[in-house]
Order: sequence, then C-alpha cells, then structure tokens
Amino acid sequence: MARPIHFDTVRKEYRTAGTTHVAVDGLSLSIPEGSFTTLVGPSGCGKTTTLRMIAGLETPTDGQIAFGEEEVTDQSPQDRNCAMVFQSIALYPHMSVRDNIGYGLKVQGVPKADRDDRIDEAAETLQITEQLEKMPAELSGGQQQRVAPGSAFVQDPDVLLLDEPMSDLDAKLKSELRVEVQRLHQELDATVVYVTHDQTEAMTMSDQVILLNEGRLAQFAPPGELFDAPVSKYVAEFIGTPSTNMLSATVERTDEGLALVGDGFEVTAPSDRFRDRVGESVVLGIRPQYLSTDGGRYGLVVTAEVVEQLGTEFVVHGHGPDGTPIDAVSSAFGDVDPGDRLAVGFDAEDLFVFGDDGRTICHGDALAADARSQPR
Amino acid sequence: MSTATAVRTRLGDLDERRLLLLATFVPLVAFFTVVWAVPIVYALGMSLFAEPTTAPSFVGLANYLDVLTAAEFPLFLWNSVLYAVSTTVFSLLIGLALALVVNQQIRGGSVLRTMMIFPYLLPTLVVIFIWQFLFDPNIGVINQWLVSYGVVESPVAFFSTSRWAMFAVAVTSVWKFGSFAFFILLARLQAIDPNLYERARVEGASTWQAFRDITLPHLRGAILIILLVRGIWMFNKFDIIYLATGGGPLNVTTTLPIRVYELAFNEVNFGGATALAGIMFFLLAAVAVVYFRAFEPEKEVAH
Repeated sequence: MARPIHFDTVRKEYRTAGTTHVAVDGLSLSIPEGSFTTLVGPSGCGKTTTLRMIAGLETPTDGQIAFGEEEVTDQSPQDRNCAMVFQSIALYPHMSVRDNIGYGLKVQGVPKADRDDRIDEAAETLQITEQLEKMPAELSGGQQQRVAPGSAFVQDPDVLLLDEPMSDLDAKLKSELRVEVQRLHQELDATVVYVTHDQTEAMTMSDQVILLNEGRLAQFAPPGELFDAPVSKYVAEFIGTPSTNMLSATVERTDEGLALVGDGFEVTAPSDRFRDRVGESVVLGIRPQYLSTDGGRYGLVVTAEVVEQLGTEFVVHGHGPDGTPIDAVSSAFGDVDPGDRLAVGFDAEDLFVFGDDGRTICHGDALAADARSQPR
Repeated sequence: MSTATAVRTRLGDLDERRLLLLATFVPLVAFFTVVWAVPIVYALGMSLFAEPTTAPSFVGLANYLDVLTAAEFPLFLWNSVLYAVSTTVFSLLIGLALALVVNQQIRGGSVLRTMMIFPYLLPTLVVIFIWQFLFDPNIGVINQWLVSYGVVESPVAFFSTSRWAMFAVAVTSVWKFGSFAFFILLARLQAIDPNLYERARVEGASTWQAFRDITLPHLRGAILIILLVRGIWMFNKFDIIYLATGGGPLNVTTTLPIRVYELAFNEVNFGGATALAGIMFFLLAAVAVVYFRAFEPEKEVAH
C-alpha cells in the first residue's frame, strides 16, 4: 500500500579524515502517497544520498524520516517495504533472470508456485518473458535494464525507488522505458521516487519534482509550477532547455514610476514591490521559448553564433549587445545564419525577476498586471 | 584434391607466422620433456626394478606389491589423507573467515592484510621453531595457559606425544598456509559489486542469506581451486612434517612422502621408494579426475 514519505530537517554528513562533507542539509518535505516524485539536480547535489536514506542504506546524521505515521529513520532496509532499482542494474550474475526477479520473494518465504505466477505476470508486463530462463550475462544492456524493475514489480512495495535507471541508454530505449516506468507506477500501489540528473525526464514523468542544490531543497513543486514559477535563479536556470536567459538590469525611478532598466529595454515595475529597491541591480530571466521575432512589447538585439535545428524548431545561441549569452527558440529561425543580428521581443508577463541574492522578487504576471493598470 | 596439391599447400602454409609459432613452441616442448617427462618416466621405470641404482634387475610390479602389502601402508595412507584434508579444509575456513573480516571496512584492516603475508613468507624452519616454542611443555605459552586454566593437569609435549603430534603439525601447517586461501578469497570478495548486497538488503535478505546467495556463489570457483591445489600440495607436503617431527613419534605423522624418503635414503630401497611415489601419483590423478567431473571448476574459472 502506497505511503507518503515525510522528511523532517534531515541532514547527512560524511566525515573523512577530519573533513566533514554535508551531502544533505536540513531537508524537510512531504512526498504525497502514490505520487511519482522526481529528485533532480546536478551531480553531487545529494539526490542519491536522499534516495538511499529513504531505502535505509544510509542513516541520517540528524532529523527524521517517516513513512506515513511510522518513523523509519533507524529502521534497517530489510524492515521497510521498499524496492529499489540501482543505477548499476545490480542483477545477481549467477542467477537466471527468473531467480533474479524472484529473489526478494524467495527470501521473504513466498512459496515457489506463487512466486512463479507473479514473475510470469511481471515478465509479461515488462515484455521479457523470453528472457526469463537466461542468465544476466546473456542479455544486452537494454534487456538488463528492462529486467531490473522486474524484481521491484513482483514485490508489491510501498515505496519504489529508482536511481538513474536509464542513465546509460540510447535516446530511443530511454523514451520506451520512460513509458514503461510510468505504466509500472500506474499498476503498482506505490509511492515512486525517481532520481535523475536529466531535467527532461523529471519534467515529463513526474507529479512532483524535488530540485536540490548542494544538499538543500531548491524547490519542491509540480513540474509546471517549477517551469512557470521558479523560486530562485538557480531553479530557473536548471529547469528548461535551453537554459533561461539572464539579463542584468537596475531598478530606476523614471517619469512614469519605477522601471527595470537594462541594455536596450525598460520594463515598468510595480512600485509596491520595488519601492525599496531603487538603485539595486536585479536579474531578469526570460525563457528562450518566449523570445519571438514578431511582437513582444520589449525589444532585444541578439547576434547569432550557432543555430541548431531541433525537429521543427530552431535554437539560436547568441549574445546580446553587452555580450550576455542569449538563446532563443522558435520555428521562425530557419533562415538565420551565424553572425546575423536579429531583433527579438518579449513581454513583461514572461519575465522572472531575481534579486541580488538569487531569490525571486516576482514573476511576470505581477509586472504585467501592473503594466496594464498603468495609463499609457 | 590430389596428394601433390595437399603437400604444396602444407608447405605453402609454412609462412612466417607458422615459423614463429614453431620457434616459440619447440623450446617449450623441449624444456618440459627434459625437466618433467624424462624424470617422471625414469622414476616410474625405476619402480619396476630391484636395486635400480646399483645392480638393476627387472621385477615387474613386485615393488608395488611389496609397498601396498606392507603392514603399515594403511596407516601411512590414512596419515596422508588426514593431514591433507584437515590442513586444506582448516586453512580454507580460516582464510575465508579472515578475508571476510578484512573485507569489511574495519579499522586496522589494511594492517591485518599486510600481516597475513608473513606466515607465507617465513621459512618453514622458522615457522616450526615458532610453533615448537609456543607448544613447548616447559616454556611454551600455550601449555602455561592450558595448565593455568585447568584444561590439562600437566604440560603436554605436543610434538612428541603420539596423540597430539599430528594435531601440532596440522596447526603449524594451517598457520603457515592459511594466508594462501586468504589472499585469493579476499581478491574475489573485493571484486563483488557492493550494489548486489544493497539490493539484497532492500529486498529483505538477512546477512546470512546475502552471504549464501551472493558471496558463496562468487567464491565458488576460488574455493574449488584452493581445495584442488592446496589439497595436492598438502598431500605431497614433506618439509614441514619431516622437520617438525621426522614422521614420529611411532609413525603417527609418517605420511606417504615421508615414507618415500625413508625408503629411499634410510633403507636404500629406490625401487620401493619410486613405486610408492608412483602410487601417490596415481592416487592424486584419480582424485583429480573425480574432482573435475564432480565440480567442473574450469567452468567457474571461465566466468
């Protein structure tokens, strides 16, 4: 039965020869029961450590972890009804695929006939029936990757943990398995926690995304919210491809009130939020997808450096007048050549405004609402 | 294809590659012929003669019959089997236990690992001195413990008491040769993917189940090889036994190799000595054949 997972100020340190490395720092959040939650972040941000603490393979230095009402902080992995798919796949090399999938059931004392029924059922779902009697060494990498979730599937876990299970697969197999994993989630009554450094995987698969930054929680929200309402510059830069463009600006007092003034644009700013920030420098974030050649209230000149084709869309990597790197994505950039200067426009409602400390001051809707309310 | 073309092809194939192959292969064959095949055949030939070194006369299998029907032959064979099996099994078990301990990330593990090589490096004679000293009835620390804890009433002269001599020799041998199993098994243990144990723990396996289902299958090949080569070596072992007890007291530590030495150099019966050595050879060959049939260790090595 799926159970929610609660973290209460969890901290994990590793001590080696006098130096203390903090892998996870003060993590507090609640993963809803039955959800598909992705832990995402760059290498070394503590996502795998967090997953291993849920499994019980690591014990937190401080803080508590609970599954529903039950505190599990110091429980051994054997006592938690978790299943885990490892990055290294970790198939037992001397056991057939059938025995590999059924091992968890075997050590829990499930009778052989019952075990075989469940294995056959799982194999059918994962389309590996033909591989059941083979040894792991006889399977290709992709086939092994398909077998790995099998043991998790037959165990009917409360919590299913996946540690970058597709990190070394080709794109086609990845997209196939992505669907497979989501189907697994629908069929299992389990809370799924999925670790990845690939934000595309995180954004496409999950109900909730936990974005970590050097062991701290950067943002915990559904994918759409993470994309549309990042709480910090870090989140805006990490989520979305290409990365969000960052334009520097200063808060200035103009004739019409307050404005965010940058190189070549002047965005009207709501006075209630920026009254105390006059003279401060801020960063405006604008997603490459929201820079368009037609329309947009504010303009920007971009010098193209590299143009990439992504299916029907084109990504222009370039720089602004002051040298800031700027990317733009549109299907209208087909005839852009490197060296071309193009005028792109954006609207205030698509902007994010970040303060000097990297925190979000406001999102575009606040700017736009203000712009509309002002007489022009 | 006619014979002429066949010959031509064969000569035609004699290119550089084949010549190189021959040039490297022939010296090897010559070497093994001189240092292995000839002595073995010569020794087996000697076993068919009476007084082969001075006045050889062909006696057929009479030497073999003499050796096999000697009243003490069953005792010598039993001593050999007892010594070989006990030292092999215990050096394997102790090596395995220590390897499992060192493989855990314990404090001082690397020191222990380094120390484990010393028994193997020490000359046999030194090892024997150490254990004769430890087991000594007058000044040995083991006897002092045994007496002070009341296990025995008076000190035991382990190496010269018929009841304990084989035990003392076996302990000395296990101490010296246990590190052989230790190093092979430790290397194997360190090659096991730690994620397998983590997966087993998450799947609910106890420590014992993980050992049985992950560790042992990984070690199977190494264990089989250790049993085979250590078993053969211990069955043929001469120096450590002879130097410790000389085969005594009252023949309780006289194994077949020691009997071969006695026949050859104390009784100057080279025919009987070579015949007994031949019997040992055939016994080991028979055991090896059964062993390879039963366990197929070569399959494990191939993995």
